[in-house]
Amino acid sequence: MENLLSVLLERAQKSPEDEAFTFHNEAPCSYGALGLGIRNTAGYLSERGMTRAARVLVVIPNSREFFFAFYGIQLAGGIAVPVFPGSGKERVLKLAHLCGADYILFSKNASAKNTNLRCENFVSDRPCLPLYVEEMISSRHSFPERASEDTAFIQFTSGSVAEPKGVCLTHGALMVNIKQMIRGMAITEHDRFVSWLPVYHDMGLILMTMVPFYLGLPLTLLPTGLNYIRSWLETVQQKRATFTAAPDFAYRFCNAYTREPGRHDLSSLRAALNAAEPVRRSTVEKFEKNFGLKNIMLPAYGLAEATVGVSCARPGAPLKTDAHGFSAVGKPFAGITVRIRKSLSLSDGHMAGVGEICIKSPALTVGYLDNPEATAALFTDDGYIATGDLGYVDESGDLFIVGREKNVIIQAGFNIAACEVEELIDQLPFVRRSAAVGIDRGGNEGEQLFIAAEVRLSGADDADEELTIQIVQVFHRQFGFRPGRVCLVKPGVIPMTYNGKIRYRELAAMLSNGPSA
Amino acid sequence: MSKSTLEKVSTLVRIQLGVRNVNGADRFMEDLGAESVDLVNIIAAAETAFDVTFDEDHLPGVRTVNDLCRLIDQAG
Repeated sequence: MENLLSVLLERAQKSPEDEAFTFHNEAPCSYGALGLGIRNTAGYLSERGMTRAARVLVVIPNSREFFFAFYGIQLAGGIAVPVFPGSGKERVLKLAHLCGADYILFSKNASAKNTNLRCENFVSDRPCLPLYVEEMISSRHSFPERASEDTAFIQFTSGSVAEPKGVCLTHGALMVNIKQMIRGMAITEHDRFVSWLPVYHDMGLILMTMVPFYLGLPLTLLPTGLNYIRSWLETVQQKRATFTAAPDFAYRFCNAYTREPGRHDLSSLRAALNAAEPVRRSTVEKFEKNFGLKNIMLPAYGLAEATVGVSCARPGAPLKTDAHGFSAVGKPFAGITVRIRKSLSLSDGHMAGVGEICIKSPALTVGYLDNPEATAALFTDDGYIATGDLGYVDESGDLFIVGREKNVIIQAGFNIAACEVEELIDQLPFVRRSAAVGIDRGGNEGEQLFIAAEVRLSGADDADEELTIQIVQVFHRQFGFRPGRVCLVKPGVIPMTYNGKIRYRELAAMLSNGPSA
Repeated sequence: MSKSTLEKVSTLVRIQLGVRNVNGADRFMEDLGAESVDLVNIIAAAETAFDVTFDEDHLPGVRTVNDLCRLIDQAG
């Protein structure tokens, strides 16, 4: 039975000198070194008595140690649970608790910026045992067999209600989706990958590392975050990369912040995947004009519940947008069927044919971890998943994403549920009630998280500024990024229904049009 | 540059980044811990607060608080 881990280990044995990946400014990591790191981790965990299907949290930023941990856990028969390393300690512990993790893996070489996330700061918080990947040495050689229906890893995703949900992805589903994407994106042995996306999540993990690992393609990885756009473009040029991926905002930043675009030779690129956010025609046109490229931008769509990739535009085809400016994200990959179902949230006057996108695929999740109600709500009676995204399919069979039903905000590639934000901010002693909405003013920043907080306004600028600073700090400490804007409002301002639910659409309209913060 | 511009911009930066100490010479990313998206939000907030629109060609040069103040004073 083919699975990615077997492919990696076989390559480690047969071609140990071949380069698996290179992190920017570091020496390449060979398949041999990767295999050794994976075996050491697996052996160490096994020797400690880690049981089959045990959940193990991985709190490691972009680095080779991440891969040692991620695959090592799986080799030992466990389930890897990658967590965003920018998360606050409370969030990490919450996720550990939610998945019943026995261990948390950290790395010394790649310790998170947040000092709270160092291994030593977790020692007191049992029963989850913190460990450093570098300290795992083992000579063990035999490990349990993997079945394609075994869960390989859990991707936590922002829930639409209450807590984050753990999307369980099996070895089999991963293999199916890897092949679906290779075929749909026309990836071949001649492709060369460059990525700055976080390797612990979704597109950055599955498309941008698992696909090149499977095919043995050159892969260069950059630090996450787009603070140094120039190094992304320079690396594409230096490595003659053919394939890269990012959300639309990253290409918008390239357009706005590149001093002399003409200096960059990106002619090697055949595909720049654009996903995780609405794709703007203006972004594509400016990018292609600035860098002298044609028909390389590839709008695509996917979600964790379908492993990752669901559809993408045909490589080499020009961008297609409809009368409202929405970009087509192509036809579903082989083996995937899309159905549009009527959405209760849309009024009859809404765009014809728009409804909730439902998907059937052999690469669907087996369900949410320990959450039968959410899993039941996800699947329809005939095995489709309800994505929570709104869209339609045109006469040519191209899918268009038009909106979102689930109450999730996407800011610069980060997904966050409104309720997660509100749960945190409501805890502040000076906040009576908070509400979170996503607002896109059409600027380069794209959709941003706006937090409205009802407080007793003092009228004194300094005092109010202090409250705002506290909200921003608390949020940043927990989630690792900052909200787009915090708006302090008087008690009673956040619009509510008669039975105590926040009226998000009204709030969004209010905040979009209102006076500046 | 204008002192009041610096004061207003400092307030804006404090609120956006959740930091209490902001000086003109501070670099947004290296000194104040801003990510790219934070910088874009700060620039958008400055455009609103000062009622100006910046030329995109000038954005790559904005690295410090003073850079932003200069851009505002030139655009105003």
